[in-house]
Amino acid sequence: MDLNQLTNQTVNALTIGGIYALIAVGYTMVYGIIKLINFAHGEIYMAGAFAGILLIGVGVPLYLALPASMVICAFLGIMIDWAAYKPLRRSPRLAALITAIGMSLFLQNLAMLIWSANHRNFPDLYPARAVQAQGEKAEENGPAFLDALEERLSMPMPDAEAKVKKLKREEDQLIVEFPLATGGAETRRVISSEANALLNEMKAENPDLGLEKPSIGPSLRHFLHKPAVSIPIGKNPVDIPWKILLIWATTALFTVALEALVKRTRVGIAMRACSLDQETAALMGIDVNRIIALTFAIGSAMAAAAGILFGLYLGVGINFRMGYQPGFLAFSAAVLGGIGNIRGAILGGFIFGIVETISRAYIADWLEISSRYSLAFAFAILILVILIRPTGILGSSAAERA
Amino acid sequence: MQNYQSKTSQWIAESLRSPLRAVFILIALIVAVSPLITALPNHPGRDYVNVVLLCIIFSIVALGLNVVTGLTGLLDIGVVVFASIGAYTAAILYDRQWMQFPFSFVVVLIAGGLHAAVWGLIRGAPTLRLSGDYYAIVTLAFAEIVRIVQRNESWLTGGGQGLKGYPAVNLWGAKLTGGEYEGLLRSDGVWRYDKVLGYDGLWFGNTIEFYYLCLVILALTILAVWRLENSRTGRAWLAIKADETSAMSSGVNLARYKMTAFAISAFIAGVGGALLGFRNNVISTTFFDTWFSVIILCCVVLGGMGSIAGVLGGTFIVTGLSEALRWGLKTLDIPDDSRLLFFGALLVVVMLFRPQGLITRSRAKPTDIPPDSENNSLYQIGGGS
Repeated sequence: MDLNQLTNQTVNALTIGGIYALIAVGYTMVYGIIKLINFAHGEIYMAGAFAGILLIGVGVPLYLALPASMVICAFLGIMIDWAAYKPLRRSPRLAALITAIGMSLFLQNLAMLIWSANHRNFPDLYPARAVQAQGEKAEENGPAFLDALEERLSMPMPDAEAKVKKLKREEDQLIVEFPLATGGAETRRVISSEANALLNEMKAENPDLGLEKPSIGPSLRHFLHKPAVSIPIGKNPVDIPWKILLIWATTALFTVALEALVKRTRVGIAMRACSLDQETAALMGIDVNRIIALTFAIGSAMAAAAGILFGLYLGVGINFRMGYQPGFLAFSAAVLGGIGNIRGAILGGFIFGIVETISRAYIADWLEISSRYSLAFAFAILILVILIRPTGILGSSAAERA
Repeated sequence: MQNYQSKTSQWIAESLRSPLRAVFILIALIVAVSPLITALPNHPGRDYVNVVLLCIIFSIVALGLNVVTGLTGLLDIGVVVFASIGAYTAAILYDRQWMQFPFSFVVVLIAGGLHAAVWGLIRGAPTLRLSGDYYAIVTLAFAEIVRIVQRNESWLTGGGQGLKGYPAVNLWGAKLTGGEYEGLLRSDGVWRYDKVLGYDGLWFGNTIEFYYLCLVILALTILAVWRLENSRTGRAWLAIKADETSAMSSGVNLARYKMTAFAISAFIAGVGGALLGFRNNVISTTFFDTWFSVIILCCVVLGGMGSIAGVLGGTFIVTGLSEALRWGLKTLDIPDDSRLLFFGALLVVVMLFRPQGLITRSRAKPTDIPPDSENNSLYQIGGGS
């Protein structure tokens, strides 16, 4: 077995597992208190990711965009509860479940109408483009080309101020910084047209140039993309970038804070009381509706954080449908851990992260089937858990089954 | 005791007084007659008849779902499993050499339904003890697993692209679907893949005979479900829906009646799915995805769970609205998938304001109860309409 791959997959499993755990917490809290599978929870995760990339896109730094989108999604969660679930507290649970499915369908397609069906990328944290020479003789003629390009771009251009802020020449690439508010698309266009013009001029002088159109990619100069830890294993050491550490730290911080909130504060005691018996809790002077709204707010904020962290982790694939699959897996994680139990949800999230990674990387290979089957494994585990031990790993055995 | 004749005339007179029933009779007449009027080639009404055909087939699937969700009270979000299995089975069987005999179309429809019923039992047997959310989530997860398998086993199902190029469908010499293929069998005994895709995509080459075949199957389904729900089995289902524990203590064999419900529901949905495949001339996992289940659920819930009239009304409203929205959004240049937004909103609004659906099921009508009975309300379950 390849140790290198194993380490990489372990890192992946822990990261994905942490993200699932953050989503699963919301499912388990809402289920614990009003016994409802909140199908719209995956859509809140999607909304969190969108709020995050839109805020970062207009220049809000990550450390502000994360809490801001958490607050936005907390309000979204309260609104969903108020509009769709609150009027149905006393009706049959089937009605609330159907409403939840309807809410999920509604939010998904609303997102598609607003933000279109295209996949979006996580915005560059460092507002710059990296230009790299391409072609057969990139090593030989590349540096000269990049030098010439730098000279060209640094010349005064019509409203160049708006497109190119600063140029920096590194060994094999040219870093072009742009003002954050412009989003960089215009800068990319300018670089591309200037590079083409330059390439044509140079080719006219030297037909044997051996260069093609340069690659213009996002600059990975932001420290979050740079390796923080290097594990010396196998042929190439495995690098863990700062962003992975950030995801781990955030997951750990939020889960520990949540655990403390539920176990140690008055609000947490009220939450637990409501989940045991709402009527008695109300008789004891607890405003049950307010506690339920708070539960939705906290769960939604966690999902929003998971959405942004997912975007930061993969950098791609943010679209209106992104919430369905992780939402389903996180729900499965909550059931596996014992629904209604926060620690169980976190544990279940990590188990599902590991299952998904292992089945994608190893089992699919071993059984000679498509790696798309990894999801089928996760769903099969969900069904088995529901059939064999519906109370989950950490759930109390006396819990009501249905 | 009234004789049959006067009962019928009384029913008609009553129907004309009740606006709801009058509307139903009107719709039934339109559905029965419309393809005859629009049968001329290039008639502008072809589009519309195609939508009505879709409503008819969706009604069959929705009636199947209604057996489990409406009558037995178990929320099933995975009816797509049975519809797609029925569709794939019927299409793959029909494509075989040895399936070329005059009534083979009926055989493959029944085979599709039976195969779906087998999977209904396979899914049902372990989940007998579940109810409520856990049952719903198992149906959803099972549907996802089946979809992943169908998507990846492309040697059998055509994978993500779907099973395309259906054989032309014939029944006793009548051409049912398929573009330009004439006659029952080609002389060399090979199915010709017709030019369906070149057919402007409207009526998909389906004929009036296919339309009426679907209508007959819908009528048979309605009859079967209606007979079932007024039988011992139907009463057992309703008892399970009302309260499992009391049903069990009243001597209802839960396992047996639930399994019956699963098998019958899957069979009906499988036949409906097979017809749907033949209508569309393509089966793919992009059509048979989770939202298919949700739309069918929407049909059942909107009209009124458990009531045949409700399911039919709901299906015609939802499917008709869906196609109207698809057309409207296309003219506005908005992706037509966003019509699902309205279904989401519809599900929420119906549940908030009329959770029992637009038309509710009434088991015993007040007129059925002898006038001397004092405690009329005792016989009413489900609130009446």
